[in-house]
Amino acid sequence: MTPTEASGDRPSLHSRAMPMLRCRFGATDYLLPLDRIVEIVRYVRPTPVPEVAPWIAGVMNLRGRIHPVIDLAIKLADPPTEVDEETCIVLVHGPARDAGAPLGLISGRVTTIHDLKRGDLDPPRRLTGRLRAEFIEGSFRTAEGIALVLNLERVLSTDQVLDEGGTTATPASTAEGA
Amino acid sequence: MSDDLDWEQLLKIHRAESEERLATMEAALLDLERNPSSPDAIESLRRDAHTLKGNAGMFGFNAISSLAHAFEDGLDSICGSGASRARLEVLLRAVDLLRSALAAAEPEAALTPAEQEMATRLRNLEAVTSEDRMPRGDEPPVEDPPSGRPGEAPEEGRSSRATLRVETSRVEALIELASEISIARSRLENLLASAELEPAARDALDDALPLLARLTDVALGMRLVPFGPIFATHRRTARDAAQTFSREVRLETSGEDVEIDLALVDRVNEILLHLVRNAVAHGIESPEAREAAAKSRVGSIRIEATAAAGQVFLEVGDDGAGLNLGAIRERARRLGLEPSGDDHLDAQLVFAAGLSTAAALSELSGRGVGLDSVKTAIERLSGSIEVRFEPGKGTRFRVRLPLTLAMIRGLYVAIGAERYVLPMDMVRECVATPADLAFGPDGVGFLSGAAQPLPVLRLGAALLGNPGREDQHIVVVSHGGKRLGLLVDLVAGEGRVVVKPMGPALHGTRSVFGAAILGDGYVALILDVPDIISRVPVLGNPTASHPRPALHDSH
Repeated sequence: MTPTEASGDRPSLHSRAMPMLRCRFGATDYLLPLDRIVEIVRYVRPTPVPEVAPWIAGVMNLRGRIHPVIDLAIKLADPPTEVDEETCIVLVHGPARDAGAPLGLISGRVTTIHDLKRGDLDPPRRLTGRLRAEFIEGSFRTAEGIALVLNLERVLSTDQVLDEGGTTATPASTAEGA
Repeated sequence: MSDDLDWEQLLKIHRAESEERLATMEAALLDLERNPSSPDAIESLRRDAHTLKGNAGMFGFNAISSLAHAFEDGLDSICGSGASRARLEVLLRAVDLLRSALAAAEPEAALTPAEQEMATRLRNLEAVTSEDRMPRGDEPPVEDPPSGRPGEAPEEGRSSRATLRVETSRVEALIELASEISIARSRLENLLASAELEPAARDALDDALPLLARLTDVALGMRLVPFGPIFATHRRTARDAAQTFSREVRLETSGEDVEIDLALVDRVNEILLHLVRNAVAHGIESPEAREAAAKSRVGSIRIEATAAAGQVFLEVGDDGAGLNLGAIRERARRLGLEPSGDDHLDAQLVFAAGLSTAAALSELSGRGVGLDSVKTAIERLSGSIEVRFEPGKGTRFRVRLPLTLAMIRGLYVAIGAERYVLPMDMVRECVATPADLAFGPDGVGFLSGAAQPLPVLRLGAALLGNPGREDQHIVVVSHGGKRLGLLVDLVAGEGRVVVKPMGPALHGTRSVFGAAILGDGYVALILDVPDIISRVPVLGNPTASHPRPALHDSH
C-alpha cells in the first residue's frame, strides 16, 4: 500500500481505482467514496427537530449516540424520500467543520460498489440540472445507468446547493483534465 | 511498540503531574502575596521546584529542569529576607514560563532567550527591589473572612485523599454504561411491577436492582470534581485584573470541597472569569475612592460554592459600590425596555442583551461587558443567574447550576407522534385543560382562575412544528420567576434521563437542550425550558420587543 493521496473530502481520482458506493437520493443515483462511509443501517423514522433546515429529517440513535439524519433528496431539489422496504440510512463522516461527526443520509436504495478510475469519469454536463456545478465531480456510465459523483464535503457544508440563477451547470472546472 | 506506548503514557502522566505542581506553586505564591509571614510557604515552594526539576530532568526536558533549578536557587537566596511583591511578581512570571515550556515540552531543547533571561533574574532574586517589601504593619492586616480559613491552602483538606489517575475516556465509557444500566433498570422495575415471578427469582431481582442503582450513582460520582482547583485559578484572574485596572483586591473563597460535573468545569471557569473580572473592573472602586468612602483600600471579592438537591450554587460577591440603578433604568428605556420600578427586578436588566455591552453604561453604572452572554451560557446549561446589590456596600451574583449534565430527572410528555422530556426541576404541576381555553394567533392562551392569569403555550403547534390533539393536558413550568403552561397530549410519567448531546451539526438548536434515548431506542428531545419561556412575549421578557426568532404558527 502506498500512502494515500486521497484527502477524504474530495475524491481524488488517480489511475488507481477508487471504490465508490452507489446510493439513490431522490430520482438520481450518486456515487460516494467508500472511505467516507461509516456504515449502512436499516431505516428508522428519525425524531423531528424543530426549526432546522427542511432537509434535516431529524435525529437518530445508533448504539447510544445521537446522529442528525439528512434527506439529501430534498437538498438536491427532489421531493422527500418516500420510505419503502429498500430505504436505508447511510452513515457518513460529516463535514470537516463539524470535526467529521457522522451524519445519516436517507437513501432510497443502496445497490453496489463501483471501482472508479479517473478515465471513467465524464464531465457533468446538463445531467446536473439545477444543481450547482461545484457539487458534482462528474458522471459515470454503467450498465445500470448513469450515476453522478457527489462532492459530499461541499454538499454537506453549505445550505445552498441549487443554482439560483437557474442556469444549467456546465462542464466547468470540476471536470478539469477528465 | 509497547515500549513506545508506555513512554507515551509516562509522558502524559508526567505532564499532568507537573501541571498540577505548577498550579500548587502558583497558589502558594498568591498565598504568600496575601500573607507574607506564612513561614512554610517558601519551603514548600522550594520542595515543589526541586521535584519539578528532578522529574523534568528524568524525561530529558532540559529547559524546564534548568529553569526550575534557577527557581530553587532564587528561593534559597531570599530565605532570609522574605518575599516582596516585586520578587513574587518575578516568581509568578517564572511559573508562567515553566507552564508554557511544559506545554511545548521538547526534550533536549535549550533555554529560549526569554527563559535564559528569567533564569538570570531568578538567580539574582535577592537583588530585586527590596524597598518594595510587602508592608506588614502599615497596611490594614488581612482580616479573617467570616467563615474562611486564613493561611490555609484551599487544597489542604483534600490532599490526603488517595487518588488514581485514569484516562478520561475510560471514565466516560463507564458513565455511559452506568447511564444505560440505569435506564435498563427502570424498564426492569416497570416490568417487575406486573410480572408473575417465582419468589426466589423476585428475591434475586429485588437484591440486584438497588445494587444497579448504586452502581449508577457511584459511576456518575466519578465525574465530579471539587471546586478547590477551579477557585485557585481565579485567584490569579483577580490578581491580574487588579493590576490591569489599578485596584487592590483580595479574593476569598469557600466551598472548595463542593463538587461539580467535570463536563461543566470549562463553562464554570468561563463564568467565573467573567464575573471575577467584572467585579474587579466595575464592582470594586479605586483605592482612593474606597478611602474616601471610609472603606479599606483593599476591596474584597468572595467566591462561594454550595450544593443542595442536585444543584450547585455559585456566588461571586464584592464589597464595591453596587449598581447604579438610575443609569441602568435610563439605558434600558433607551433600548425600548420599560423598567418596572421594582429595584430587584430592574437590577436584573444588567443581563439584557445590548444593555451591559454598552460602553456608556459601564462608565455610568460600573457594570461591564457581556453579562448577557454569561446569562445565556448559564441558561443553556439549565441554570440561572441573578444579581443583588446594596448601594455603597457591594454587588452579589448568584449562579445556580445543575450538579451534573449527564443525567437529569425528566417528565415524559407526548405531543402528536413524538415524545419529549421536560427537566423535572422546572416542572411545577400538571393541570387539566378547561374546555373554554382559547388561543391567539401566537399560540398563547390564558388560564384564568388564579390571582394572575397563566399564559399557556400550544407548544407543539407554535414551537415544535408538531401540532397535537385538542384534548390536552397542561404542564406548568417555571424558570427565573416566570411561569408558563405548556399544552401537551399526554403526560407519560417521570424518570431518570441520560442527556445526550445533539452533536455539532445541530448544536444550538432553539427550544432543544439535548436528546434522550427511550426504552425502545427511539430518540426523544429534551426541551430547553428557559429558552421556550424566553420566547413568549407576554411573559414580559425584556428581549421580547426585539426581533428575535418569533413564535410562528404551524404550517
